[in-house]
Amino acid sequence: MSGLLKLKTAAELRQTYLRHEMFPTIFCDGCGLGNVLNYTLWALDELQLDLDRTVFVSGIGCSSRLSGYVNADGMHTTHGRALAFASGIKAAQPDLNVIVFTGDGDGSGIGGNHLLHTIRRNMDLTVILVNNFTYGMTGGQAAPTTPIDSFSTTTPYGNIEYPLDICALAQTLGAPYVARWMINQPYPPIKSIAQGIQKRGFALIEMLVPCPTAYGRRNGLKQLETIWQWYREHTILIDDYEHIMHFGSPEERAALHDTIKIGVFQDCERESFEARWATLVEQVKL
Amino acid sequence: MHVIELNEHWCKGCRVCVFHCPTRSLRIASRFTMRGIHPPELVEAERCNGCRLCELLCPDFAITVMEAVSVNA
Repeated sequence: MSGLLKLKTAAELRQTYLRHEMFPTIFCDGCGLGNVLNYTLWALDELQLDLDRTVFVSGIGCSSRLSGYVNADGMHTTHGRALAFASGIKAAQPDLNVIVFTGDGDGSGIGGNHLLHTIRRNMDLTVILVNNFTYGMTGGQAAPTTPIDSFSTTTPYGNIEYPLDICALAQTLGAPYVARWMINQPYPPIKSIAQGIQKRGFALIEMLVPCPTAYGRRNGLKQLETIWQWYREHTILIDDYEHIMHFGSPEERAALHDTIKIGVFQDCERESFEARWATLVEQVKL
Repeated sequence: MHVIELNEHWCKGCRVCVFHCPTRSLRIASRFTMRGIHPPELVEAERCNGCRLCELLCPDFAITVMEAVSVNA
């Protein structure tokens, strides 16, 4: 990315990209899902993507309602299967831009196996995985990403299971672009989503989103200010993290124990499924 | 000088703009909108530096920051 972002006003953005009959959004006070949509649209605007050649796919959950608000073709699919449907779209029409909105329960819990195999195949998709640490829409059950010792409707005495680090998983499987961002800083996620869309191959952008209603209420983070401040205090940029781990004192390193790393974790090139498929078709042609 | 335009049908009064404003020039109004919520309002128009953070952080696409231009200029 070069140069500064030239931003339109939000009024111009909503004229171009949104379905007005769907608004206002259904999200709770203090939920950051609207911000995720906001940043995705700024990224689309920065790249000047043709909305007629862009498809939004989503599964089930709070985050999966996002595809309904965009004035582009979209699919609202079955629980956890957004990536399977998106792979199908991409395999049939490789020139479409496919953007997937999925949640932590939908993408890594119910559809965890689809996540593994879509990354393994390296489909050219941009996956915006919204992580709010819980199954929000169904009433706050513990998700695979719920932090240890936190409370939910299914873990009323505290969660005893270790959480899943989705970015580390994607990195291990060799996804070409892996990033994680918190929504209280607008510019890094916008640039990151734009990079992810441009990347030929699987791009996973995990967004940490506060959920004051289903998660915060049971964990002492009911107030909006408190939960947004919690995220600000418990996230650290990967560069700062590595710097402190390398040069910091033992106390400084111990203080980083329960912080969440944010930043771009992996940005490399890997031949995508579509490219390899096109080569194969050329090879075996009679 | 800047002004904010608010889409009152979309704003849900979540106060994300108010507590993120770096110049503290927004506040929650005492009046109600048609949806029955207290909307944000710009109280210190001179203090607002037009950083547009409220516009970027609004989850409901409700705020637009605009520069006020004098009609006689």
